[in-house]
Amino acid sequence: MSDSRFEELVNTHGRDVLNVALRVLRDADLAKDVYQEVLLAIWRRWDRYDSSTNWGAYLYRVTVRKALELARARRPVPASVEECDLPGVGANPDAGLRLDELQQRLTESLAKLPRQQAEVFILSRIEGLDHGAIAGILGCSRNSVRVSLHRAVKELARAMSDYRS
Amino acid sequence: MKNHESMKDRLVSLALGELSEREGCEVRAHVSGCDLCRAELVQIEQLLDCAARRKGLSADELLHESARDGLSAAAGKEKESDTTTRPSIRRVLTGSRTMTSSIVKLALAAAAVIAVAFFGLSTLPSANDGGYSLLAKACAAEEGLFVGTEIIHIQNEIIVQAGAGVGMGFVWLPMCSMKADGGLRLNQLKFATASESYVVTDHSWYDPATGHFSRILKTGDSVVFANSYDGQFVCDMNVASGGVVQVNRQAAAAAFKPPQSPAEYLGLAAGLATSLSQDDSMVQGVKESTLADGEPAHVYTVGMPDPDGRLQGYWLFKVRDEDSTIAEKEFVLQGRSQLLIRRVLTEPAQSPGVAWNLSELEGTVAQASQQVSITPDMVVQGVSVQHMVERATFETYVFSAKPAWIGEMEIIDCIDPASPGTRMFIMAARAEDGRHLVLVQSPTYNRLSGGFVKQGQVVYTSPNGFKVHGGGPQKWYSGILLQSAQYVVKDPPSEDRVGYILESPAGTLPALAINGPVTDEELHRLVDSLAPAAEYLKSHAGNGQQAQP
Repeated sequence: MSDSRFEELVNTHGRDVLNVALRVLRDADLAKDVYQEVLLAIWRRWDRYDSSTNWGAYLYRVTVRKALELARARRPVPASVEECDLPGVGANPDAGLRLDELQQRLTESLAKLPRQQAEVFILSRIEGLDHGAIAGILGCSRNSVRVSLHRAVKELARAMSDYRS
Repeated sequence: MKNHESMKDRLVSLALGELSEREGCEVRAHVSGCDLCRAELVQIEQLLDCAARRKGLSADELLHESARDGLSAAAGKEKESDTTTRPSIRRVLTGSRTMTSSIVKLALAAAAVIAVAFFGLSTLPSANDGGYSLLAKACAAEEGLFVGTEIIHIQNEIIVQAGAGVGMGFVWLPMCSMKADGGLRLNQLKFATASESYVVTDHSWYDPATGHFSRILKTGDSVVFANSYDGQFVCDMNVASGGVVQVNRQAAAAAFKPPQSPAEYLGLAAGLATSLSQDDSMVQGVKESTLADGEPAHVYTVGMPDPDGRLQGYWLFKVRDEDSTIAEKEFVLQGRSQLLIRRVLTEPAQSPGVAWNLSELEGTVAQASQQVSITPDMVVQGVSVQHMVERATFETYVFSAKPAWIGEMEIIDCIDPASPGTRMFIMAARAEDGRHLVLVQSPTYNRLSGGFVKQGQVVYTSPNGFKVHGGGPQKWYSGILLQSAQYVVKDPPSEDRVGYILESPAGTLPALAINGPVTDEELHRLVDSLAPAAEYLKSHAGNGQQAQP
């Protein structure tokens, strides 16, 4: 495909990649890393894609996967009582609140979940996609999505509960 | 235990909204009598609430820019594969960037005021042929269209290119209208970004014998702007609820004079004579070309280069060789055409196509345009400190003591085009010795001047808490600031101009330019005298209507 199509891809979907990564990681620098790695990887293999690629679905999948990969690699950050202020983040509903330790714990717990459970939870509960869309993105059945979501919720609730206790 | 695990599944289903009403009632009934399940349900709901809170997180423009810069830089470090002939990603992305770099945004913010000198407020003598560029001749030739004995009708079209203004969501033009007091109102004509190009038509009629004129802008059949003078009244329009057009007529004041130089308000050369004939420093190049009709022409590139000498945004003027009139002008941003404005026809007319008092527009229904909007008062000159305090969305500062070497300070209130919905304030003073002074305070500068600060160094820290950053691309931005304030300072930026970014106690970043060298003592006195405008107002109660002490 032409270079202009890549340019179009970055213009059309780049911000979505950044936003998804930001929502998974809640860290502006890591989100930028995800953005960079995802788009660079695509550029390196640009000749292998064809015009039928469903970029929206593909980018959801690889972005969530890459963000979880970085979350796993990151050392757990001790909870702090500093003000929560994500640099460069607009429309942050948490702005002005104390650092949300539960949010931190959620990211860490997501990183420990089996991959499909984590991906389903993120796409469903953070990105707000329905089961059909998630099944399309992950290439699995709706029932598989539902089962993974249940397992993820139960496991995450348990992990968060352990943390609180 | 097995039963509890089973209930846990149903708790998840309840929290996820998967249960029917009857099933939900059953589970809730159980939960109300089971402490363990109640605690479980609270945990699940807290988890889902925690996740849902993230839905509101989104990257702002700066983070997006930074990510994109990072991508470009990282890719630039990679060696291109021997097996590929593709250009580097850096080049692809750099070529495609539209309104994403800080430099472009800063330049566009400043350009709002440059536009005043460029297109709008013609307070200087008209161009003449002697010693000026061909472009100035073109402006003069344009003026020639408006003389004679017959009504002249000019039709231009504004072509908004597909994708123009991506990044901000719109692209804009400054546009003058006449007020009943004889003054000019400078409006911001905004064109929404669209995936396909669209056309706005611009019709003007002018009667040289009486000075009557009417002008309308239309998208399709809908009028989006009108301004006229019928000898007694100055008229404009607004669209009331239901899309009904209302014509506003105000009696022309005694001081009102019909446009003496209608080309400054109408036509393609509007305002051009103001700056370009006086200072050709913004003309970056001229080359021969041909028009669409095959006629020979010259193309002028007009703009301000960035610190690296690149023209991020510029205008191209195509001047017809035969009669030196301007046939087209085109706005280009980062290599992409944004707007193309061209002459469609110039013809004599028996009568105006729209009455001088706009009567036929009254009561018509205009379809609400999603594409074109007009923000009045893009620039308001000579405002008071009080006005600035009331309209600013950030802490503003004034010089509490005017240095002896500068003249009267004027405050200009202007739309900050790179931070929509906000205003920027330009304080400008002309100095007898040519060292004119301009201080720009703007939300866009506050957000984006940090890059300049990093490139320079602190040259002074004042007792009132200001850090003065010098160096870096100070020649560049001081040139823009001084060019922006041409309306006040009148002289072109000098070679020995200096610029500083001031880091205020409130964290804002006012930009200061002086059109010549200053001593340390002069600079220190100037900065030491800066005071919050609101406090200045309080301490000068009753004097707030004045621009400056």
